[in-house]
This record gives sequence, structure tokens and C-alpha cells, in this order.
Amino acid sequence: MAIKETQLVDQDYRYGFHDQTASYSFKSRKGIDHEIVEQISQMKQEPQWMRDFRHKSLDIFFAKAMPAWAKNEVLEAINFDDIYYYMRASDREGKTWEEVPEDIKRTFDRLGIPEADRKFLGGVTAQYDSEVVYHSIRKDLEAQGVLFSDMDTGLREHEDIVREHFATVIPPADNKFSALNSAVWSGGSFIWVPPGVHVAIPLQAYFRINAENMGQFERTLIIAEPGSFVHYIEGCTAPTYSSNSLHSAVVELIAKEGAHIRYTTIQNWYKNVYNLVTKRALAHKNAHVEWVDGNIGSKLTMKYPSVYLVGEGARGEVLSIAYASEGQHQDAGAKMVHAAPNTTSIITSKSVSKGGGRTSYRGLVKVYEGCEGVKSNVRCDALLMDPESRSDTYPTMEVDAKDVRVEHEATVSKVGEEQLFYVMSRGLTEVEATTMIVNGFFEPFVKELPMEYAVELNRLIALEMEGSVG
Amino acid sequence: MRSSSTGSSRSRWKDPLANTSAAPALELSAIEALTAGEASWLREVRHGALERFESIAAPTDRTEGWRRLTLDGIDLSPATSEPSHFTLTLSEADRKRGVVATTIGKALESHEPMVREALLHARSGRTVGKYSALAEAAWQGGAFVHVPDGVEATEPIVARVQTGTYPRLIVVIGKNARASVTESHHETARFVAGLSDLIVGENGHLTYAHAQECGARTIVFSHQHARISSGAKLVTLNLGAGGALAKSDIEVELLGRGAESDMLGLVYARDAQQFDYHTLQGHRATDTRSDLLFKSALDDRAHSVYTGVIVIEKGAQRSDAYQANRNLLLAEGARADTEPKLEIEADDVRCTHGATVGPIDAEQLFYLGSRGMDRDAASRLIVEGFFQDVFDKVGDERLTRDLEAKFAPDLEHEG
Repeated sequence: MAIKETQLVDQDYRYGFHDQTASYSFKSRKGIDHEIVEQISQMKQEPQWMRDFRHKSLDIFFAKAMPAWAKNEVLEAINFDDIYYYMRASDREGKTWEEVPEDIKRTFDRLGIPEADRKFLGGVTAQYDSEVVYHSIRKDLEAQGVLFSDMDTGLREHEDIVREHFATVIPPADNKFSALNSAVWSGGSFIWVPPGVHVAIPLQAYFRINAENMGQFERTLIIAEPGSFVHYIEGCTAPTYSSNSLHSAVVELIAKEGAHIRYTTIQNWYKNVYNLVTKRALAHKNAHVEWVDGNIGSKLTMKYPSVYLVGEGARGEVLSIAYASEGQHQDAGAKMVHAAPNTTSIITSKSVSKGGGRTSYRGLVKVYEGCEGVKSNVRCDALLMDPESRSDTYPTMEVDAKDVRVEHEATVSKVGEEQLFYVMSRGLTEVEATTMIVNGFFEPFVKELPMEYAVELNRLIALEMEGSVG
Repeated sequence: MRSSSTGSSRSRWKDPLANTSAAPALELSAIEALTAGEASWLREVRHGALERFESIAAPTDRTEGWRRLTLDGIDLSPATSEPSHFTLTLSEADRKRGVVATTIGKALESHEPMVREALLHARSGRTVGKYSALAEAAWQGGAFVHVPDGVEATEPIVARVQTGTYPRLIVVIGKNARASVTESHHETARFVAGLSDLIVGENGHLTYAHAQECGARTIVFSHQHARISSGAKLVTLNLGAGGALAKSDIEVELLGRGAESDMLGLVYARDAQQFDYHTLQGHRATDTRSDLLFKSALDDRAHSVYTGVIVIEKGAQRSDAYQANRNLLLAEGARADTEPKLEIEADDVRCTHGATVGPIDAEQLFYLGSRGMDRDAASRLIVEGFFQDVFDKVGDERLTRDLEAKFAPDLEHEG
């Protein structure tokens, strides 16, 4: 990328933090070729099939063109030769809470983030504080037979399960960035839920031991066996600084018969990050998959969580919000592919553009021939906060079956002057009133979040709205 | 010139009249021959268009804008340019008021500045497709309709086309003028690519219907481009019934403050017909309003593709735009793709769109059944209602009366 690393450590960034790259114990050289891929695989002591998979994926990455439909000059600016493809974090020793900059601590204060979380988010070793909590959760999960680890550990310890499911939902050839991820992936979560098991608490990467969190090329695989339930939470509302400006994760979910997976993401990367993610779920007979997806940070996010409804009676839902301010483009959306009869899907997308930011909804609802009884509803609402900002809606519906009901609706508007006037007449300032209206706009999303996340998100929106008016 | 990738030898739709096995139809020399005696500016326009046509690769089933269509067995090789003959109907009273309906050739003598203006700005819209560029290079004949400033044409003006390959109609409505115009197409040649240019002056009002009733084997391209000045209003009705494959671009640019456009469309597709409609609602000035309703009823193995975009440019504050696409699937093999898009760069706007795809509503059928109506009659009534809604919105019964009769649903073979 064109930006120098030193410039990335932007002192004006009030809510972020970063690790010094020096604290990484291993760092491959910049650029990407088969030698780097070989090195990564060797470091991880992977089985031959995974090594072959990485090399094959790299060839696909080289061969594939950038997505033509994106027509995005921002995307073309990515310099793949100027990126580190593998870094392994050291044990993070030596960094203390005192070293975390004051302004970040202040932001944590204002967001009301619990003490333990703060230290983790601040890059401070958090294991001591969370160990007790962590162990009790860990014990419960083990008792239920749930497997939960980082992806590298998953591959080492449960190779059979990984090999059976890995890259079956998103093959390397799906797109250029899934091919890149397949070649250089590292970290991410591996979850396997046994048949009929209901995981009561939401699983978060935070609970993992020695987690290689928020890696550049995360690879997450969640398998819910028949009749099971799991809720996974990725990311956090607090801003996440990264010196690596390209992030390209692959997330695969497999919900077997009657299983239910909910996957919640809140993405708040620092505004230098390209976040190009492929997320897809397979929903078998009567399975239910929900993506709850929030995009607040990053320079450019391209992310379209998908559900392939391959079994009769399967249900897919995407509930997403996007917030773009100056210099940001949130190109997010959802895809529902109905490949079985009597499947249903709901997509609800809400976006706010401010200060010259751009939000785009890009989606697809596809109904294959013979898939009768399909119902799909897509709803997109966008708020524009000023004349400099932009909002696009690019939904696509392809219907090949007769007895189906596919609906799409979208609106774009600004915060109504009447609404503002009404709220201000009750004694609120313009900033407070605007914040309240935007929070209300995001409400359907926020109420699906665990409470502490919801509280944080509302406060974050309040922070973002400061200075947006007046 | 390159010949199209789908060679004529594979064509199932080959029209014996069209003589497609002849040498490539449009060489530069052919254009030279066409333009002999034309003004140099017009020859430049044609040459520029021919270059654009040649610079755009022949579409395949992977080309964006084409990939949803079935091109197998469709012969897209351009036809030889045959002059289009428009039969024009203009009432004597309106003619006396100064309303003009004539050939473009004659208009180039009598209304040169106006025609020139229209031809020079004709393709300023967003979509310059391969075949609209071809038509712009190769049109012959064509018609020109003009209503002078302040004049109201009392009777609908009708332009009917039966022959020709690259028909072109130019309609210029003067300031504070008012008219209703119908353009209807009945060509049966293998290949037709037409252009319609609509220009509505300040505070003018045009109601325009475009009825495509070409032959069942015809490949029909159509590019409609409208430029609306401040305070003016354009109401368009696009009807699609004919053709094996019909691909239409319908673009409206709202260029002056307070300009308005109602865009209506209705497709009734049967057999293996393919209809592809692209619409643009271009808001380029403040206080503009557009309202679009495109409907399609699809029977047998018919396929409809709709892509529509609302663009609100920076500074086009207080724009108000609505877009709806409704698809009714009448048979198992029918197929509908819809892509209604929004691109908004101004904040003080109200912009909404919606799209639906579904069969005849079971509850409505049940209701009519409970009133003693058999299933066929009930289906027919519901489809008629689905169509009628569009005709009613045109708000000009003189214009729609004949068209309604032609668009009566024919569901006799339904189960």
C-alpha cells in the first residue's frame, strides 16, 4: 500500500491503539509468493493437504482479476507487494496498562468498557484477569463436548473435522480475496457443536487462550451439528488499531439439520484498513442462520454475508448496520441463495453516511428453479447527514420459480427537520437530538446485541455524532 | 467490422427476409454511402457513433448487462441499414396551429438548429450501449415531431413504423407547449435498433407512449433518451409485447429546477420471449420529482430482466424519487430478475424504491372463487387489474384506449 507504516500510527486517532511491530516474534518479508506460503505452512507444521491447498489457492489468487463490478479505484490502490502476510504475535509481555495512551483510556471510560476488556483491547496481557472467568466457561463447554479453539489449534487437534468441512462453503476460487486468505490464512476461530447441544453463552474470541486475535487473514469455521445452537461474537465496538492495512477474512458456517447459528460482528477498524471479507453460511434442512453485522470503522469494507439455503425449510437472516464518515466507504450487503423449497429469508440493512462518507448496500436474492414456497423480504434504509455524503443501493433479485414471494424495499432520506424540531423542543441540543434519532434508526440492530455491546454501541454513536452538527 | 460472436449459422431466429448470410452489414464505406450529401457535423456524429459501436466488444453471456439473458441461438449480428418509414398522424387543426410531423430529412431543412441540437445531445445519458451506438451511426429515414412554444396539440400525434432497421424519432416540445405522442413499432425484420429522443422545453408537457409490437422473431433494441427542462413534465408509457429478445434503455434526465417525470412500463411476455428493460431517473437539478412503475406479467418460459437506477446528483436538493418494479409469474417456467438501484449524492431528498416477484395472489383468487368465479376467469381478472393500474396512471385516455385493447391478457391455456 502507498501509505508508509509510520504514517499509520496517527496520533490524532483518539480511540485506537497499536502494537509496536517490534514485539512480533516472527515476521515474514513483505510481498507474496510460493516461498512465503511454504514458510507459513512450515512454521505451523501443517499436514501436506493443507500445504497443497495453500499453494493451489495462491495460484488462483494470482490468476483471478479484481472484481469488475466494484469499479473501485480504492481497491485498485492496494499494493499486494507492500504487505506482510504473516506475523505471529509475541507473548505480549512487557506491555502494561500504564503504557496505553491516556486518550484511549478516556475513550474506554466514555464507552464504559469493563476493566478486563480494556486491558485486552489495549493490547495488555489480559489472561490473568480473565483466567477465572475463562476457565469456568471453558469447563462448561468441555462438559458439553463443544470444541472451541483458534483455527490453527483446531487443525492440529481435530484434523478430521477440519478437513471434512474446511473450504467446502467458500472455495478458494470464489473470489480474489478468498483465494488470498486460503493461501495465507492464520488464526480465526474453530467451533464444533455436537448434535443437540445448546451453547448458552455467546462465544467470543476473547475467551480463547493464546488467541491470535484480529489477524489479517483470519479463517473461521463453525460447524453446528443437527439440532444444536451456538452464538458467536466477533470484534468489538471499541476501535481497533492495526498497522496492517489489508484485512481479508474468510468465515464459513455450516448449520446442519435443525441447527441454529447466530454470528454477530461489530467491526470498528481504524480508518486506514481495507476490510475485504467473505462470509458465507450453509443452512441445511430446517436450519436457521443469522448474521448480525455492524460496520463502523475501516477505510473500505466490502462484505456481503450470505446464506445458502440448501435444505427444505431453512431460514436465513441478515441484520446489518453501516456507518461511514469522512474518507470511509462501507460497501456491505447480504446474499440469500434459495436452493431448496419452502426456504425463507429476511434482510434488514440500515446505513448512515456523514461528512462525505459513502455507504452502499449490495445484495442478492436468488431463487432456483423448482424452489416453490420461497419467501424473501429485503428492507434497506439509509440516512444522509449532509450534502457531501453518498448512499447507494444495489439489490438484485433473480427468481426462477413461480410460487414464491420476493420483496424488496428501500428508502434514502435525511434526518427529518420536523423530527429534530420536535425532539429539540423537549429541551435537547441539536447534537443530542440527532444522536437520539440516529440511535433510534439503529435500534432494530442494537436490540439484537448482548446488552453490554448495545450500551457501548449507543455511546459510540454519540461520540461519532459529536461535531457532526454545529 | 467484427461480426458478432453468436454467428448467424447458429441462429434459430433467422429471418429468411433478412439475408444475414451476406457480407458484414455496416462497413465504414456503407456509412459513407449513407451520409453522402449530409452536413459535416452529422457525418461526424455518425462516425463517432460507429467508432463507439466497434470499441464495445460483442456481448456474451458473461458481459455485465447481458449475463442474465440467454444468448444461445440469438443472432446479434447487425442488419443492413434499411430506411425506416414512419406513418405519421397529425390532425389538421393541430397542423394549422404550427405542430410539425415530418421526416428528419425534411426537418433538417426546415428546423435545422433544433434537429441539430437534438442529434448532438442525443446520447448524453449514462448508458451508451453497443447497439444504440450502431443505431446512431446507421439510422435512415426517421421522424420529427415538434410543438412550437405555447402551442397545445389537441389530438394525439401517432408515429407508426412497419419497416426499416434503425428507426429514429425526435420529439421537441417547446416552452409552455403540450402534446401527446404515440410511437408504435410493428417491424418484423430479424434485427431492429431504434432511437427515440424526447426534448421538453420549460414548463412544457409531453405524454408519450412507446408500444413495441414487433414480430415474434425480431431482436429489438430501443434507446429512449429524454431531456426535461425546468418546470416541464414528461409522462412515458412503455409497452413491450413483441420480439424474441427486446432490450430497452429508457433514460430521463431532469435538467431544470422543478422538472418532473412519471415513467410507466408494462411487459406482457409469453413463449420464450426475453425482455430486458433498463431505466434511469437522473435528477440533475433541485426540486425535481420522478415516479416510476414498471410491471411485467410473465407466462410460459418467458424471462424479464429489469435494472433501474435513480441517480441524485450532488446539489440536486429536494429531489423526490420513487421506483417500483412488480413482476407477476404466471407459469412454472417463467423467470424474473430485478435490480432496482439507488445512487444518492444529495442529502435533502426523499427516495424510495421497491420490487416484488410473485405469482397471482392466492387470497385474491380465493376471494373471487368464493364469489362463484371459475379459476381461469378470476386469474384473467386479476391480471387485467394488474395491467389496468399502469394505464390508469398515464392519465390520458385518448392515448391509452387502443393500447389497452391490445394488452388484454390471454390466459386460455392456463391450467
